[in-house]
Amino acid sequence: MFTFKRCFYHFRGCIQGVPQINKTLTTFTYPPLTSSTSTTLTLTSSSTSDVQDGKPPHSHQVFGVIAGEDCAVFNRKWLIVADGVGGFSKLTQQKMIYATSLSTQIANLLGNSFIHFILFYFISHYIFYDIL
Amino acid sequence: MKKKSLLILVQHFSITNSGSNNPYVTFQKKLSDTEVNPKEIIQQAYDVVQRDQVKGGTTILLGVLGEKKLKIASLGDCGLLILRNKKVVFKTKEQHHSFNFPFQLGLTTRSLPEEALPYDVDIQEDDIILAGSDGFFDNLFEDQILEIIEEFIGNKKLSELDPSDLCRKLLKEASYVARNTTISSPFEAIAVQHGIEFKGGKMDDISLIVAFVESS
Repeated sequence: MFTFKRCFYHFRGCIQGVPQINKTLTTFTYPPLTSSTSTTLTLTSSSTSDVQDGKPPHSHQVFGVIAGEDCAVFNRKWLIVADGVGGFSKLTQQKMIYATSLSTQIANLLGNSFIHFILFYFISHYIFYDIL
Repeated sequence: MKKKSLLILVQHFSITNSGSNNPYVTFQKKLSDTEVNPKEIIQQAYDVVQRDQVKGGTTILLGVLGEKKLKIASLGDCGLLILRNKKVVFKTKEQHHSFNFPFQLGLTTRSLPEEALPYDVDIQEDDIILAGSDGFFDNLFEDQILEIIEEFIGNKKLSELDPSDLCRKLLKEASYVARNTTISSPFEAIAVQHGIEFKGGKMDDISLIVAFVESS
């Protein structure tokens, strides 16, 4: 039987030609509001210092990162990488939601109902996680 | 070129799926290693997301460790590389409709989960797994990745090394190439193959998971 020794995730966000994104986004809803079974994902503000030291603000067995249009979710037994395709725009946020939604569903099918996500829109430095 | 500005904004959010109307509950079951079928899992997840009319699209790569195998399904141009004894022993294939137009799942996209490529790969202790988005694999050639890993490992045992250090080295180099307009990149090579004039790296989000396989 094997496990991943540890998983690490780095991100360098693409900023080329990227317009300003909604800075005040405080809630994120999945499924979308059109669904009768919406689950609201609560966004709470965090500072860069929470992650610059290489540790996420909270420790969870399953960890997710939304980095620009990329999304990664992983633990010691499985990993997901998803890449929303297209430019960074209001539409792209929707694409990001799709990648996140799909990854979340996959994690659920693998028996994980709770995922801690960290969301990055723009970031100018490397991010490193030691989550396990 | 328009001057780029950097905005550092970090937020995190958590999901709580409690409540009787939780759409996930019916899909939440434990799967044994032998039951895990990444392609089927992607299909089931896709069915839910499509049912919920989620807009947008994405490529997807899922890798699940079994008892002695890594089971993978991939649709689009994310990649997974397995290295053993400083050699690449496995790499997923990219899927594109045309240049820089990867397969993707979505409400209005033309790809379907059944098109995901399945893999069942033997793994061993001390294998190195790299899983990343196209931003990584479009900027570093396999030889470059190997060179970095060889230098990283040197004469040491993998168990003595920290995968985070490897991840940093790989991402640093990928990021450097991405920002460079003169260094050749895999993306440039593919562009040229398609008759497109392009030089240097490819600016993109770059995501990479580095994992060492160990016995448990």
